[in-house]
Amino acid sequence: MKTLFLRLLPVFSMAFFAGSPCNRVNSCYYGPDFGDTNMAFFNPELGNDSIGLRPFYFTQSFLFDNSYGWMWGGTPDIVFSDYRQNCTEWQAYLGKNVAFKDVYEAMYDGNPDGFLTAMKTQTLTEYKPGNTFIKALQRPENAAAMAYFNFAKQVEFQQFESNEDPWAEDYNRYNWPAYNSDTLRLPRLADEAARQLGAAPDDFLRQRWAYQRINTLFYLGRDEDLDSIRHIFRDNFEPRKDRSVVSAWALLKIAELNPNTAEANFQLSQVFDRCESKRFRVVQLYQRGLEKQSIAYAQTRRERAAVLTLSAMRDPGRALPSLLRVAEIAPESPYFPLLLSREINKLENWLLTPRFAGGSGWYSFMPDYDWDENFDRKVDRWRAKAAVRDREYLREVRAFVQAQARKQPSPLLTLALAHLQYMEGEYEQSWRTLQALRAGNNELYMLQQKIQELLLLPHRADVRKPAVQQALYERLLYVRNHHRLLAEPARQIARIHQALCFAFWERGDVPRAGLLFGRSSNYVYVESNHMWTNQGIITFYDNLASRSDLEALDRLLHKPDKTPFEKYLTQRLQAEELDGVYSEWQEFNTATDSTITPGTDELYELMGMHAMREGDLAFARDAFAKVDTGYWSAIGAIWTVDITGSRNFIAADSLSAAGQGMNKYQIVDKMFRLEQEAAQNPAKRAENYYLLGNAWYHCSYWGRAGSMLTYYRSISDTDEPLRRRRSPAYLNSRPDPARYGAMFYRCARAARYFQKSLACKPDPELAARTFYMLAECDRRSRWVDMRRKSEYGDGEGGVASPLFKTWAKRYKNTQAFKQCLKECPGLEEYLGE
Amino acid sequence: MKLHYLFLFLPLLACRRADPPPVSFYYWKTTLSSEDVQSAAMARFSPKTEPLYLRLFDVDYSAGHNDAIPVGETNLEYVTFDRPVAPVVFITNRVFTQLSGGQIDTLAARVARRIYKRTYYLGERVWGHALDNATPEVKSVLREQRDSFVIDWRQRMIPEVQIDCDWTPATRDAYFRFLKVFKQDYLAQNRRLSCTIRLHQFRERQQNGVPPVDRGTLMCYNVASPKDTSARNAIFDPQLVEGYVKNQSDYPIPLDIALPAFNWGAWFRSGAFRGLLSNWDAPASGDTTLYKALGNNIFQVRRDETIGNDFLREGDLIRLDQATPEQVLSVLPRLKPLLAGDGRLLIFDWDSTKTTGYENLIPAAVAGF
Repeated sequence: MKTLFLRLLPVFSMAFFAGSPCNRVNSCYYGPDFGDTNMAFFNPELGNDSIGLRPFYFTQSFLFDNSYGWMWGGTPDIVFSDYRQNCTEWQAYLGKNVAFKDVYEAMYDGNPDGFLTAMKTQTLTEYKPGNTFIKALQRPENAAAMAYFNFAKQVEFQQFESNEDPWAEDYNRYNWPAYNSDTLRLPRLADEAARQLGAAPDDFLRQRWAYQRINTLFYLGRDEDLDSIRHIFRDNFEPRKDRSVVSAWALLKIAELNPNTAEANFQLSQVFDRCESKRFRVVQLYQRGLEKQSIAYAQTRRERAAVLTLSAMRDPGRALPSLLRVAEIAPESPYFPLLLSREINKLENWLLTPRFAGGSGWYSFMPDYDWDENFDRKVDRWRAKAAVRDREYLREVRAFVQAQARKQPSPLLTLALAHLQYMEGEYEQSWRTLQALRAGNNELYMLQQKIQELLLLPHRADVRKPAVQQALYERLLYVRNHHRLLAEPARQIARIHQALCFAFWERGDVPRAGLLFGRSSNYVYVESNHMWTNQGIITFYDNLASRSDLEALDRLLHKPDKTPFEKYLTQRLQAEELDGVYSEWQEFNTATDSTITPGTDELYELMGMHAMREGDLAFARDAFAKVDTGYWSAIGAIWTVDITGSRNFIAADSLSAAGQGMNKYQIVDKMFRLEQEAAQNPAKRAENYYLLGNAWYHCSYWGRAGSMLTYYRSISDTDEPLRRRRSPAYLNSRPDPARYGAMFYRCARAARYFQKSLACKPDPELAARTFYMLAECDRRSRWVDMRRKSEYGDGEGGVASPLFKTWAKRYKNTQAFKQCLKECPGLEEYLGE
Repeated sequence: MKLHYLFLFLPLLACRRADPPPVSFYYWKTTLSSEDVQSAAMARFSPKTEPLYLRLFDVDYSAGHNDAIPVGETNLEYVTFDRPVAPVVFITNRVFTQLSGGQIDTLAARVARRIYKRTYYLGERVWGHALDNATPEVKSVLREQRDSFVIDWRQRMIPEVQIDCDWTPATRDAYFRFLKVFKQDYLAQNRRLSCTIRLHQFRERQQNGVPPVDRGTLMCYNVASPKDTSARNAIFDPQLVEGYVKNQSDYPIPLDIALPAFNWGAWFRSGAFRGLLSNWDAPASGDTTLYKALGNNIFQVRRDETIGNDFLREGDLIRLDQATPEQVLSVLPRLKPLLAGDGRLLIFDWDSTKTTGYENLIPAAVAGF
């Protein structure tokens, strides 16, 4: 019979955790996204974004680059090539006295309503005063051009601003909202365009009126207009010959209406090629899977390359076949660098992300998850299989790049080849390739060369050597100084730090590895066991440092004559390391304090915690003694109860108050003194071992002071083995289960003290309390067993220990027994009392 | 003694409904199509006397306007109707965290006017349809009576307005103020106001309060976050639904019951949520080329494959979230007492391509009530 007592125990335990002062759990959590876990070192900027391809990099900011933020409001901070072309065409039409910048301002800067109001109120002189384009339009001989420009602004207003009152609260004669006035305006504009098209004085304006007629009919969306739209296009444009910008803009509308998807794909590819401003729409509309049919419409190499480019860009998987064809058909294609860097960035995501960041976000499927207990093992196998295929693909891409580089050497191909060889583990070959680079004065190439050398150096020499560290320092500084050339500066610098962190960690230099980890942790999210596992430097040292590592770190931090590399590691985060907000997680995670090194108090607290796990009270006391007492208050590590209890209380349930409260030092100091006294005075041993047992019980996972030994506890923790080896790519908030599992989760150390106490033959009252606690430790251990066997939550309240029955038999007549039953009526029921 | 038993049963007999509940659908697509809503298939499940719960638009907070704005309006072009319509407006909860009291009153007026405008527009489409199909004599009369036709259509064919909002204790007062103002000042007299009630709002009614409306629709779905890997089924988990409704006293306002008829694939890689594969259908049982069924609605991807814009990789897991007829039927005994005597069964949502699913679910669910 599972009694109330046992059913309520989990609740009591939860209350313990909640009441414990040192549960540091981030209750607010923003999940990492693609870019936070992705590891990419090949700078996509190498393709040189002179043709506006940045939004199409294989990065987090794909389609969301800030340069294009104006599309959701604001003013464009880039000049699209097709906008530029439009301005140039107008400039040519109106004459040399019209300045390009004036055309651009009139066309694209400011809202159309401003111009329309100025026109209607005859205040054009006050509208953009001095603008040579507006002035030219006002000349009588340009009346037709002015009429067109005025019309174009009306269409623009209709499209973008007419719905400025999102509620459209205009009223009709019934005092209710009028019908949508837009539907009246657009047909009127379409009719006007038709009239003007017929009366256009020259080809320049005729094509523009034709475009506006197509545009307005397109947005009217009437089936009966489809044929008209196609006729107007056919009669006024010849896309292959006609290079006017409006020809390409009109082609987009034709493509959108084209029921022949393959032909539409081809038309879209031509728009992509000619209109930077329309690329978003084109990428949205392009349909994958029809490459053969679409390419059949292409007549030139460039046209074919454009179709293949869109196919590759819409492919989130392996797109080498498209890349191969682009190289074969049109090696001079301006899109080749983009496609190449996308493919390399994909490979990095598939191969380097698991290596340096663990491959995924926090790990949420537990091994005891009810539908698949072998899930972890399977994940590892799938990852391994994926890695094999990815390495095969890596070889294919590398072979392709190598062949291309032989055929037509270029710095881009050399850098790509070196990076792919690095990814293949061919470090010496990669280094040789890199040294053959002829970067000239191109800073982008030189920057990538430095990044590549930073990745390669640890594989060529021992990073613990000062000369190697100096070489690393020089390159790191170079990268920092040229961070503006990176697509995502702070994030890319952080990834380099993470890779170097691995290099030092693999060489056993944990202090320096940790400092590099600290520099990367704002932007690189590594795998962990819980979503709330802290990703910062102190968690790194908690996971991976030994006591001697921590002492070495302490010496390094206080070293007066640091090398330049050491200064680099220990200095505050520099502006360029914080320059960029790329994700919600990163924004939330970015340290407000740019100091990355652990504070002295933090360091000694961690040393003390490590010593406590080992049971080394003397060392722990010395370490905690070095911590400023204000620090304990600041982190809330003050206990209002004395966790050693007293011989008059049941330590698992009730503890005596601790006066002013006890901090970690005071707790361990008391434990140390109890131990000393027990060693010297046999008469005190039974009681002191009981009190020490209580203290270790409360320092365990189940007690009120678990944070004496660990930073975090979760209600689903068990002592199950770690699912993978701890590394800078995998952090775990639990103390090492293999080493500390029994002590921390199963109260083994506490139990040992209770047994020592009983061995000293205490009086019956103390013996009753001690045995009770021994049973409690056993119950907790069984609880862990149950949690590991079944889905979390099943029957936890039913965990009992047969030792309670033994206890009842032996100590039935003691006051302690009666007190226990009085305090826990459920226990009385369980025992059948 | 026997008499006592009779007294005990009297309240139950009084509450018990004589007929099976009528069925209505939610329509949640962004474009309303005549073919969709006038199809014989819909009429098979929901008689033409029953309203279609049509989402007209959403309302969200805009920082730019510093006000609530309408978004995602359903396209009503080229559509006509042959059944009543219950307009539904979804309002995001954050609207009520951001707006002041005065703004909330204005919002009530704006939403009412917007509904009026859109349903008037819909009435015009119906009028246009009637005109197209009328004899020449009737045509000339109809032409003269467009406004009166539309007004009459609205009065007869819009019996109810529904507001959908996932309100919380923190936004309760603001939301209820909106509902009160909307009902008192802007709702036509012969029309009732209803709102959706999520399961947590139903159970935690002390904190969430009871909305000041004529009736509520208890949404028996979306029981967990799809990102939650411990969820067995984020759309419908009988145990969770039962947990919300069991041992609850009568809700103070009459309730309709809404059941799910939609699905998605919750996609995970290495334990981390990757996204929702909307309308992802489980592979046929014999099809093991791409997926391996692991049981409990979980499927393992067997090879790298690009589907749409998503690159699935071997080992990825997809949890099919959906409500099976068996699951729904298993909780009907719990839901049955909650349905008002004049309550209806609402199905979320209508899609003319999913009639087989409705066939399996609706008749059995209706019989269960």
